[in-house]
Amino acid sequence: MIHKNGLPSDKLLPVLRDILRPALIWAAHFVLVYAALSAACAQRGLIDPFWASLLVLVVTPPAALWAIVGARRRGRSDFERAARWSSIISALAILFNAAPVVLMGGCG
Amino acid sequence: MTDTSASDRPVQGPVLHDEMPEFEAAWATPPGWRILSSVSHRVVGQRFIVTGLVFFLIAGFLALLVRTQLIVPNNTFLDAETYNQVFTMHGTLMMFLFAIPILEGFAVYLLPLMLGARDLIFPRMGAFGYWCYLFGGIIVLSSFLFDAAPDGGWFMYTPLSTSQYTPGLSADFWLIGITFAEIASVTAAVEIIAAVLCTRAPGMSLTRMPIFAWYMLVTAFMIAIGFPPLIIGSILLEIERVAGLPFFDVTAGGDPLLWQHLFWLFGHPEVYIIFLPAAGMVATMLPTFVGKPLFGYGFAVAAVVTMGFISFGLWAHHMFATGLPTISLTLFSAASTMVAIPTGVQIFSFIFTLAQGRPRLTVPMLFILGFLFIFVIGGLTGVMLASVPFNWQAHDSYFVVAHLHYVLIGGMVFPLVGAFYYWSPHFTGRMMSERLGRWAFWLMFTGFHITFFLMHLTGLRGMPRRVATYPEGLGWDRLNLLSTLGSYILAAGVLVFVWDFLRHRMSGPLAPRDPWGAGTLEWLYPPIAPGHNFHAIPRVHSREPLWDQPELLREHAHLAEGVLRGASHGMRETVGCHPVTGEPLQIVRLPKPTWVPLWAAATIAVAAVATLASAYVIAGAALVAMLVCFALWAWEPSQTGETVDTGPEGVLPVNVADRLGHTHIATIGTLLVLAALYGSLLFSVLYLWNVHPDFTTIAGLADPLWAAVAGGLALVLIASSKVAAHKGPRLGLDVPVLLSAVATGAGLFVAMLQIDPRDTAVAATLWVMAGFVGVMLFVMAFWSLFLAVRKLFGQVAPHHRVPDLNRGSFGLATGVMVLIAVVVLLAPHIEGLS
Ligand code: HEM
Repeated sequence: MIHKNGLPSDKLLPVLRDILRPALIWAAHFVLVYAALSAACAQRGLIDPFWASLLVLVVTPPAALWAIVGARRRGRSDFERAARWSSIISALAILFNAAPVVLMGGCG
Repeated sequence: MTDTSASDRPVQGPVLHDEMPEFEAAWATPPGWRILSSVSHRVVGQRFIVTGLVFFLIAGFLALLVRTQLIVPNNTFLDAETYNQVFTMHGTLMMFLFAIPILEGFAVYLLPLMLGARDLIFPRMGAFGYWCYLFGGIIVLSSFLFDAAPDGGWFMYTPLSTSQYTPGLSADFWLIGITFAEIASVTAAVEIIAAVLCTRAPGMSLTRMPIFAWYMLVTAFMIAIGFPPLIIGSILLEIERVAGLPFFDVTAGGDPLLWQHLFWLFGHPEVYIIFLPAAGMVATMLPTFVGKPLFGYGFAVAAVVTMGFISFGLWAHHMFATGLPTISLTLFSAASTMVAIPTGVQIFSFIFTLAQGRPRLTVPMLFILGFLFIFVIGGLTGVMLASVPFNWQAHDSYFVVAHLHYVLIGGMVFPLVGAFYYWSPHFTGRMMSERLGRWAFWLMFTGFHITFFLMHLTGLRGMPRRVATYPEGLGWDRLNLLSTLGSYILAAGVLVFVWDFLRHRMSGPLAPRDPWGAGTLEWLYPPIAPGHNFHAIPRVHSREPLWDQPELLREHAHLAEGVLRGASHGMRETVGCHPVTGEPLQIVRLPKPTWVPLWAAATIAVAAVATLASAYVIAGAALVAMLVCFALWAWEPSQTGETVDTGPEGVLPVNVADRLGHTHIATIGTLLVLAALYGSLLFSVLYLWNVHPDFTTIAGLADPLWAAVAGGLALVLIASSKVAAHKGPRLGLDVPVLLSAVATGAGLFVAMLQIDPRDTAVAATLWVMAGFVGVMLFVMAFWSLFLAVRKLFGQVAPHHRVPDLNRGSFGLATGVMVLIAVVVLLAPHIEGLS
């Protein structure tokens, strides 16, 4: 039964996952970008900045796409709307994470 | 029966002594001084709120001293040293002892009432947290008495705060007192997570949850992950001060910037941790005054969740002037700009809610409008500061002081005062004054802008923050004079509010039932609601049950239909729900008043003070006493396996042994905190290893054989604790867990012996990492011993699986931490081989 502001209980969990997934993908992507830049640009110089940039450029499109898939979710309930917006905000934030590499390259 | 509305003095109730004697007796608050043993969320929440308010007034007084010193150039009202102490204590008290605890106090008080629970799910933990907060706060404040008030700024940067540049005890007061007080925040976080997920009224699925609960849930997760870096940083710095290990000493491969990373990994999310609960209050109050539900609940949920994540990616924007690589600056600048989007979504959700109707301009509503106006300006200057070139210009200037107060006072103090006006009928049964409230608002609003708007200009004209005085003729004189006068007006507004708060307890008009016409469940009873919150917990069908289920307000609250009406066995209990659907899952039995939380916190306080006094034997003895307290705490009859007839929802089991049970969810919450602590240590190791490559192997390498042995034993630990969790309580299964925990710890210790922690920062940090794992193993061993003794004494029936289930998850996490430590210790060997 659907009550006011509600979704059927069997739909709740998948939608909740759709709200959280994009944000978690953003977190993983951020950690990866930070790690890659730190590995390339700190004193140890673990990897070449070129490879760090390449890594970021390679992982960003799939990460952003994976985050945005939730935006395809239909439905007018608040929770479904939350899933769409979480996807949109997170996908944008993933692109922002990659912006430095696109704009500057190397270690700046 | 006593009824509030019938008398001219507010009375808590109704208390149905005749109809439900055992039930009412079970929930009675202990009289007289024994109220200190109360663990009720209503009592504990009010304690947090009142204590937080007292710290706010002290910190506000210190702010006035700062402003008075700066009123004219070359002023000698305070000497430079005192000035440093005063602004440091102002920032410290405001951030650590006022803002977070008072908001947590509101959450502790309101959440069960809003969610349809009779108490918070771990009442003793709430009480314990409060005592830790109080004792920690007293330790920090008492530094004034010893003329040792901290003076290194609220972020205690190294190397200034190391013993070389800050001898004496002042930094130790800060590090030990604040870390102690933070226990309160972290325990409250775990408790809020479990309470929101596990104790909601029947039918309250996640999508029907009051928006405040969403804000608090996200905030609690943020505290669980955000506070650990500072706890670790403080522990490292205190060890450096006491034992001389060189974590932040550049000559031994340490790095002062490590402190900044750890501090701001906490410090930036902290700003959102302060903002989100306040915004949650706004999102709760606003619909009441507009008479319409919050516009875009879904938008708000998405914004809060994403903000919770993204706010962790901004920490280094406080470090733009430290010489980080330009590419990192750009990364953090981009993330800082990005966070404006979820923030903006929330603000638009509020604005559209306003636009849906004609808001009633009550005092709380005025404060909400003040919040919107001030916070938006603070957000805009925040976006300005996120731009690196502008940041370099404005760094450490009064522009930053202006920005941070726009965000903190606008984003938190204004909603908070509004919340006092809105919810104080709950505390006192009376209404605060609309007239005095308007005075308070206009004085605060005007005073605030005069004080802080002008500081933008003072900053742009080049005045640095944290200066005790300034020469005349630099264009700062008049601005400072006006800022100081503004701060007096602001303080007058605060005093009017405080006066009204004190006055209304005696002479405010009696509050009627649901005085503002709100839709959320906390207004079901006429203020002051009875101590158990609900005689029967109603099933809810919407987010605003009082609007959508008129039958709830049509009859007396205590007659409302619901589950668990009364309890003839005289025990405290509430309904436990499925975390997602909100459908009843179990009955949660709750503890009665007890002194144990107070004792446990007192033992830690003794340990803290003894450490300050370098009386380490006493500190050790106090920690042993603490273990005894925790054992007493946990020594209670298990009730798993019993059932309760709830009435409309049928028969439910008590304290289920299930992954979705409340104790298991709390265990996972605790593990989240522990994982964040451990993650902060790993970050520290990797950071030092990465930025000071020359120092990484000087102090020696771990013994690879023993490290591998420890890894193998960790696998045994994981397996044995999982088997025990699976098979249920058997004495024979505790022994392997106990032995493998001890043996793993021993193996790790021997492996570490070849590394000298005094030689380099990496080596010292590796020791702390191993020490942390050692503490986890000690907890596993102690827990297993405790469970074994309980079984020996016949305290555990065969179906009492809950503790073993929880220990299974804890054992898995501990084992994984050991394995990670082993990989870190073996990595240099593998690198050497290659
Ligand atoms: C009640 C009115 C308040 C006034 C008049 C005030 C005034 C000031 C002033 C003048 C400073 C700068 C001191 C300096 O750099 O030399 C300052 C710093 C600061 N204030 Fe406030 N403040 C107030 C409220 C608050 C609140 C509510 C918070 C937080 C919730 C807060 C947090 C801080 C922090 C974190 C600092 C930085 C301290 C440091 O540099 O270490 N203040 N305040």
